[in-house]
Amino acid sequence: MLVWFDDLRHVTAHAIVLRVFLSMLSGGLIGLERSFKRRPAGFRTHILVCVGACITTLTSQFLYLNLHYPTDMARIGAQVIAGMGFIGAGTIIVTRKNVVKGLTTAAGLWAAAIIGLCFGGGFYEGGGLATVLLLFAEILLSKVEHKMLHRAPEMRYSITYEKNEALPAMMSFFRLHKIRVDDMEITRRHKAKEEEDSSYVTALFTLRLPPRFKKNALVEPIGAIDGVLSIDEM
Amino acid sequence: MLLTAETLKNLTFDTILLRLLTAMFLGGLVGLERTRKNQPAGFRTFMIVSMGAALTMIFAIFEFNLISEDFARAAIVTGVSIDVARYSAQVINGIGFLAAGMILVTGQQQISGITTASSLMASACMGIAAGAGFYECVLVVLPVVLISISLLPRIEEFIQERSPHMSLYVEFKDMEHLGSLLVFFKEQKTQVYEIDVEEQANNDRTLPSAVFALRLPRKVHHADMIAMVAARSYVMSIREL
Repeated sequence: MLVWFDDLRHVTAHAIVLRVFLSMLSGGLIGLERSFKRRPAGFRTHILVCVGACITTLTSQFLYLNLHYPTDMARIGAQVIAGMGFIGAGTIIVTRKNVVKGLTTAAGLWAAAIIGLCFGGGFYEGGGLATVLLLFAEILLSKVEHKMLHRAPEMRYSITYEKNEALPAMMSFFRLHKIRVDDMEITRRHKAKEEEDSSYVTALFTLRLPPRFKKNALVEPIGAIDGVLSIDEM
Repeated sequence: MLLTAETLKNLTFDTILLRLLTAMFLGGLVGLERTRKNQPAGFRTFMIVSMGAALTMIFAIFEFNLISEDFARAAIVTGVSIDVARYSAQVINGIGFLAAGMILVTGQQQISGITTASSLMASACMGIAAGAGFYECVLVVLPVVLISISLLPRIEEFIQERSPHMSLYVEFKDMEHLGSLLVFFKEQKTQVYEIDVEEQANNDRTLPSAVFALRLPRKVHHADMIAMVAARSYVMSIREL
């Protein structure tokens, strides 16, 4: 433990100001990064969550240390952890294409609340370290993650075709190049309501490309198959 | 500083950092496999959750330590101490909710995201262990995690790919085409041992659909079966569940 915080472990006026200020700073920094990336929960949200959490542990320490009520100091703060799970779950959205978004924001908001708890309880070292580590993960590792996602061997493609023969042609292409079809979903649509015959089909493929298989080597030959209208990476 | 078993159990600036980093590492490891599979939650999410969980435990231990030092007077007057497990117990609760937000039921009677959700729960629990300085547990869990993320998916794939069983979700143009499809399955020597039919609702928007539990003949690949069924003009939508 760091010595220079030793006078600030009790609930005094100085400590209250410092704790609230530090949780504001910490929440602000975490939120700033989110705002910068234009995520739903930004600057103010994180500050409010962090300061709110800070107040709960501060209050329970006040009840225990200053007013001497026989209470468990961890009780109020513990419920913040559960409650933030709810709020975090609310930031998660499912788009129409069944893609889940907002998870990192949810996790960050949840962690911001715990950091607020630490500052409120006078655990300056823990709160500070966690803030640094969180920012490290959010800022530096997001690039690593992006690269990994880019290189992920599993890819999703949306392919639209109008002739039924195109599908077996695609399947034999996949087999030839040892591309594994992990999942496929096929939907037929009519161009117009009246024309029963003129339908086109959209196939959603989840493909596992073999190592060193270039993505471009997939798009062009598939696009060249007779009857294929379009191919999109998702 | 010499890191002996004794010093590791104490709460100092170094051990706090060590515990948080251990938690992040373990969480990231679990998340790595999810990221590779192009799943929604990247490894950052897992790292952050695991780190947060570890922090709850460290914070509880910190408050407990204060009770025997700075807060000794209050402890004597009130006669109560602190429950060290209380914060971390709520982590299980909170992450349960968070993970529930990731599970989604598609319009095709299928549930997805459970593996990601349970991975998140597992990484939170590992974070709690790391936060408590329970390195023995971490050392045991590490190989288990490594095996389950590297070896088990391959075994699962191997089994699933060779299994003759498959579930198909099919949407028809009209209910009467259900019979034609059953005839087609019979021609293909494919056994249908369960059909779950969803008839068309009153509004015209939804098509009649059915979920078939099939047993394919040998040497017929799952993807081939889908392609063959998709080629029928009355099949409006199809996917494997």
